[in-house]
Amino acid sequence: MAKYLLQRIVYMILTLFIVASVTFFLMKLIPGTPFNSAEKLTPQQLHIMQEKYGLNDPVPIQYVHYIANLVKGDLGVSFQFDNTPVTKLLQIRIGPSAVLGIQAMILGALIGIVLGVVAALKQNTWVDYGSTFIAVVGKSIPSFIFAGLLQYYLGVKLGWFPVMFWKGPEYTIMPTIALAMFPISITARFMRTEMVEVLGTEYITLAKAKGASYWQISVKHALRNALIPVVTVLGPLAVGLMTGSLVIENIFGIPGIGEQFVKAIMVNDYPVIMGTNILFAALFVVIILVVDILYGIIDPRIRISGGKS
Amino acid sequence: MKKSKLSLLLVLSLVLSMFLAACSGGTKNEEKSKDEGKTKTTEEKLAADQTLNVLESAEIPTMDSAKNQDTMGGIMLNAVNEGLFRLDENQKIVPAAAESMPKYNEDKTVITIKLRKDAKWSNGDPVTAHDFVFGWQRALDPKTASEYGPYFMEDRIKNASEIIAKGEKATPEDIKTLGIKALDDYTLEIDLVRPLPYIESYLAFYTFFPQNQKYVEAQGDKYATDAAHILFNGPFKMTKWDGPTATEWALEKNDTYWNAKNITLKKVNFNVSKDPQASANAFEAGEVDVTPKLAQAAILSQYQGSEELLTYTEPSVFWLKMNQKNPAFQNLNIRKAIALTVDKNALVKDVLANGSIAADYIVPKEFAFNNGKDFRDGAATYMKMNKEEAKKFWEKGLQELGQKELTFTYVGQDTESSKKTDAFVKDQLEKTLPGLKINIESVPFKIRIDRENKQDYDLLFAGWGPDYADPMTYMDLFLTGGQNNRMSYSSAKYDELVKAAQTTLGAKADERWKALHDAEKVLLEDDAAIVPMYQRAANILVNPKVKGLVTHAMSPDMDFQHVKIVETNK
Repeated sequence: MAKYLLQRIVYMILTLFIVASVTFFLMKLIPGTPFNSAEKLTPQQLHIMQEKYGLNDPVPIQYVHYIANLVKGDLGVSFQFDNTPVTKLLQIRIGPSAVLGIQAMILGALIGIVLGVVAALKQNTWVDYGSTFIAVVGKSIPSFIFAGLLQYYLGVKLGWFPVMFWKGPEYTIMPTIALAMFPISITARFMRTEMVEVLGTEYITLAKAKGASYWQISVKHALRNALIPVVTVLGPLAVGLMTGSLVIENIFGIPGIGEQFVKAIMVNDYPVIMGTNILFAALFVVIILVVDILYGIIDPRIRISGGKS
Repeated sequence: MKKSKLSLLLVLSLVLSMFLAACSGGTKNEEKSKDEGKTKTTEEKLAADQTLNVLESAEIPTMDSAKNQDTMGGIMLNAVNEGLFRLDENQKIVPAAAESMPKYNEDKTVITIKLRKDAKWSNGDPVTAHDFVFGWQRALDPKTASEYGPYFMEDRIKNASEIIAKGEKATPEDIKTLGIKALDDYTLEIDLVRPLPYIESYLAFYTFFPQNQKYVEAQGDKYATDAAHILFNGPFKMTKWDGPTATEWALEKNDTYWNAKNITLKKVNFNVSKDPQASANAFEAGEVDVTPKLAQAAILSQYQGSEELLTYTEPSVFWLKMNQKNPAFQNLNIRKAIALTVDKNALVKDVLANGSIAADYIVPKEFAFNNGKDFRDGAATYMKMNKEEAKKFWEKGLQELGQKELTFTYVGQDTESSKKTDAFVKDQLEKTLPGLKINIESVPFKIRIDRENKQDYDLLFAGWGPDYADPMTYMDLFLTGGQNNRMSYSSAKYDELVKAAQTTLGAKADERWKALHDAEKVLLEDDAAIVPMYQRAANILVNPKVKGLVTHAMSPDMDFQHVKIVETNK
């Protein structure tokens, strides 16, 4: 196990290094400068600015500088936010996004699993169709419409929740619901398909023949086996949710990282683009590792053994 | 039986829906007429709670006046700091940290300004002439890496160009040669390279604000990075701001401000909302009193005629550039054909639908004044739409070029409203001018700028907002080789007129005005070099209890110091 983990961590670092390098060179292909007044400055004034930020150096040299600083944990400073260190910016902005993402993930997975399981157990009844309907609606309505409707009806008209901003737990309710729609649909559909498949397997028939109770079969045998593919999907989905949603963050006025990332790309804020991308990649590889470890816990048949398999 | 049940249901639902419709429409009207009645009969009474809640559309990138170049930063700096002059509620430049209006020497290149003696920094220090000298020098110093310092001072303030030319090698001694001196603690002398008729507008702008040397140097890198590291000398102080990434902040009345007795507002809370519909929702729910600018026709249509909607014309003008690197646009007839084709009235009414006005000019309305007279008053408009004429010019142009068809690359921005505008312009041009094909490329702002700088376009939709209150901020854009020309336009006549207005006519306001009017005619009519499209309007929602909210044509876009919250019956 320890050897396996070590090996995985080495691969993770290698992955991050490749992500950082590819991002760096792709980013340098974006036309334009990070300076807001680029259309006003004379070539000489622009030159002074670029000199100051080391942007006049050849790209390979900039790359070496960047990687050297990265190893030291220095992600540089933001252009759009007056030299705010990128590490500080990420720290501030990842918080709200992560809180929302985790809440939405838990809510989405729970509701989705319940919907999926119930649909599979009551296959081809109105319960099944109802669950499918919810899943299809949740997946096909764009989040900006759903979030907008929530905000207007629950916030403005009924006044149940604050319309926007990020000032306390009650402010997270509507954005969490809006963000959870997607994981609900995904989980529900996956769960139903897997459950239906598992319920048709021979070991379930065997369990029934042995006289196991309905609940024992459903929960202990079927659900546990059906969860594996769902966990595979949920891992990356969780990263997607935690790294923020431009739409949800904009509508509910949340100081998250999703909006920040998109804006950084639009305004060529190189250090922020790099820092955010590396952070997302790091989250992703960590979650994938966690998912792999979870497999073994859910299903002992999947063994993690020294990487020989 | 079944039929009658169904019809009953139908009738019932119809009645219900009519009832509901009548309800929602009726209550709003009723409320409104009640409001109107009240404001007529009762005097405006100040509310006990003088707090204003404002939504803004962006964070504050910096509170360092030497480095700022952002609209939001401009509004906040103007609220908590103060330069020599200010824009008052009638858009007039009035003394602020200065005691009186400036005195000029004979050729208007040396300015002397007396400072008021009762202005204080929030640490108790008096605001002196040395603070202005330091602020200006710091804005220009290449080590500060300010974009606006060099941009505004080069070729205007004495020795600025020489200092910029030295770049990073400029020594503190070099920087001290900048044309601003403290004759004594309360007297400033400013040396200009040439007369600048718009210098007073400069002196109200944040790049030219004072900075307290002792304080700035003591804070080092921390200076102006959050509310705890800023000094205030304006009507408000910033009591909450965690730095450039903060999406909420607050101002409170500054009791040590020299004019504090005339400030009624006690507190302003700010939050950021980047979604226009969400901003309108927050306004509807009563969570905020003022929204950011809302440009979406769908939202604005709900507020047409409402006392909550405040629409005002901005000085930003948008136009279509024709790149003369393309031989087709070196042909005057082709340019005239393009210029005469687009129905700008339909563009502003049907496509933008936000109060913007069709522009047959490039120097905007309600922006530059000479003795109180708007530059546009009495000025002609040029190249009004005439599709028949356009067709004739087009055919003649094609003949001269020996072509039957022309295909142009049209670079526009990737925002929703830009895309709509671009599609409309393309449609107008292609339908009117036979043989014309336009390929739109919608790109983000920074890439649009890059394409423009590299002249990698045939047609390009761009706009310009002013840097100071003078027509020159638009007219010098198209000088031969001018850095903002970027379309290979060159006219000896235009250059002569604009350069005369910059130099020899600098001190003769009326003649200068005339030269600029003539230059505009050369640019738009004689040469048809660019096609002005519209002057933008801004729309914000303001709670009727807020009185005295002042908007300006240029930075600071909004001023809170005259605001009073009055009691309403709501």
